[in-house]
Amino acid sequence: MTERSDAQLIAAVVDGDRRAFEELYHRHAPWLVLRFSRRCANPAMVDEVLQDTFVAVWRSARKWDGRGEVAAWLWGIGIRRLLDAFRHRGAVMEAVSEPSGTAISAEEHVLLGVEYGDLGDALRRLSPELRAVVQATVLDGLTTKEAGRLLGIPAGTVKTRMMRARALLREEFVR
Amino acid sequence: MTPQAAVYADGVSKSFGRTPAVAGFSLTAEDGVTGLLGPNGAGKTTLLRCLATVHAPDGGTLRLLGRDPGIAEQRREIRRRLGYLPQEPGFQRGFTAFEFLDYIAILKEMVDRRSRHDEVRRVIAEVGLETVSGKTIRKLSGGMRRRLALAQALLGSPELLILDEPTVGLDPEQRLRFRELIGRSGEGRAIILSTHQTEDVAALCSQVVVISEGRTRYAGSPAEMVARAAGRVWLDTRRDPSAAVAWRTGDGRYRNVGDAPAGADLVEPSIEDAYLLLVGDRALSLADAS
Amino acid sequence: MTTAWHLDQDLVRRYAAGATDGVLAASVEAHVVACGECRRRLAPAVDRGRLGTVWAGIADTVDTPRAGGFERLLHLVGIRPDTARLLAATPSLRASWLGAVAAVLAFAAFAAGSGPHGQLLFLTVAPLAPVAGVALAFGRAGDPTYEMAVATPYSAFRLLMVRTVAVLATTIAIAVTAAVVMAGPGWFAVAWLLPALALTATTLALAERVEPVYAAAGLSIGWLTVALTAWRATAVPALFGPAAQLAFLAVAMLACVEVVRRRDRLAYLIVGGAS
Repeated sequence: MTERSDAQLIAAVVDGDRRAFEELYHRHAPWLVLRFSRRCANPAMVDEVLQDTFVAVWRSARKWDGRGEVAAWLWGIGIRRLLDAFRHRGAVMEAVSEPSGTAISAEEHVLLGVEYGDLGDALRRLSPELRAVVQATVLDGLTTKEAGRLLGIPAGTVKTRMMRARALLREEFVR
Repeated sequence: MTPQAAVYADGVSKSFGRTPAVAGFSLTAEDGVTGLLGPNGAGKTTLLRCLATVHAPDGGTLRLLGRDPGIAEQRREIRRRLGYLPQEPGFQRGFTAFEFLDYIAILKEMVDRRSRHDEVRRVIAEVGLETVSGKTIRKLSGGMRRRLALAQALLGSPELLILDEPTVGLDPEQRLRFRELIGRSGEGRAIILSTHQTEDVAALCSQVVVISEGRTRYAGSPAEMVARAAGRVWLDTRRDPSAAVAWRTGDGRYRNVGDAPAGADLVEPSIEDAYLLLVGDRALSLADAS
Repeated sequence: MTTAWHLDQDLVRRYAAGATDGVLAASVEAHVVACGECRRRLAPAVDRGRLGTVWAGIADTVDTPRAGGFERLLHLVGIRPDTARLLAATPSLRASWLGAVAAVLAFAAFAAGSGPHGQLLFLTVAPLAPVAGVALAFGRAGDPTYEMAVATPYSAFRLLMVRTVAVLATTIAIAVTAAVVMAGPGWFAVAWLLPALALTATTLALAERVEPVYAAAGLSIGWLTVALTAWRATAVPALFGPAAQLAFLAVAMLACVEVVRRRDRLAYLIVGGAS
């Protein structure tokens, strides 16, 4: 029996199929946990957000428009649940300490190249604050207001940093 | 007398007005599946309702799980260990399968929400309805609703299961699956089921009781029942007047059941033959009508 | 293009441990969203027990039947959640039914504001609301699971009482509100209460012998006949006067005594016919 695609699972969940829902969970919970954990150091909170995310998926499965990756849609729900959790605790995403000066393997260079092209290197040269804003808006798909809430800065600051980041990156490419 | 048996009935009778629906019914049932076989109108449903404690018998002795259903507190104790699937199970249409089972579970005194929900999930898995537990009942097929009805009977792991015509209206494939389900559920508990289909009995029952017009015609094992019909089933080119029952088979010959004349072309009896021998013409005419 | 490349074990380990720098991690994340194979490769990096515990919480939340507005109202009033669930299943406590009742009573109350004929209309119609509600609260008509429910250990009498009280409370609240709002406070806003109680209690007393729907229908027709006769004979005040109210009270009390006395009968199926 061939495995069902994510899209098929979502359609089944809309129909009230609990087994499909469980399958969806087993496929996507692990990477969601890891991605949440990079934004929130508290594992209990991550578990809570994971639970809220999937409960929301069960209740709003019919809202998926059928376009794009199911995983992207799941992340959209998840990151907003994370934001809610932060808001309830009056917390923000902590600047995750990054190991500096780690050599990147040739493989990883390929990955970076594949995902971002030369942009990857340029991004690394941005300051952490600017990069955080770029990641929140571009990678996580948040609005400026949501990004502000995630990072604990006013929406205006998000906007100015985005503009600066864009300007800097453009400079890099013009060079 | 074995009052510790799951079901002990001796001379049980029940009438509605002047009409006796059940008269002088006796049965002792332990663990395993007991089949109640009989034509429509034989009093099977009334009898099962007495066994399920929802009717009070008018006469005779009835003990269920060693207790007397006529005494209120003992009746409650029986109901705590009983599962009942009526002939026409009803559901709240707007409920999901889960909500319906949750409702019945509350009536079965499962007060704690967490453990009650675990039990509901358990029976859903037992009958294979996980894929539709979140669906509203009005969207479920007949076969699924039947399984849902069985699931509610299984809540609380009852020691005694009463099933009234559980396979009626199901197509052969559904009937087979349902029989497997019942067979599995029979482990470590007593199941009393009624049916008018002999294949159910042959497939499932360790004990069979044949009822007709409210009276017991036979009680014993299916094998013995078939053995009784040995030498009393024969084929002929015509309907033999000395046969109790006869019908035309697919190949044009007639299968006769009754006292065989000398030199008749005898055949191996089936459980259906044995059944017809016991209930006679009435069974055949009613079978045509159903 | 992304399909040709996948995360290797080392990168999986470093990403999961948080030992990759921001940009690389972001790349991994962007890739994983589009690649099922790499999602699979990340799976072993998360503790199965942890995922199992969270799943139990999800299943519990998702499976729990959602309490409708009425049920939550019951919780507020202090009714136990499982009892509230039993009440929520009652057709005569659902929004659609209560809405219909409210509409009918509002109309009757509106008529009451226009004079004595209107008042009689209201007084006649109002008692039928709780009677109908109670008739639909149990028995085969109101409870499709009736036969299965009788075979459970839950006391049928208790179920009946709980539902009757809930139906009475809601219907009376609606009727009195309708009367006061539409036609102002007056004796007629409450003069129908005792007749309603008498009719409802009698329905219950009969319900042990007869299907509640039939008992209710019979009593309703009887009541309408009496009211019509009173109107024709211009004896309306007498029908709702002090002497009559006492009589209704007496009937209600007798019926209640009868219901309590014979509550054991409820433990068995109401015989609608032989089978």
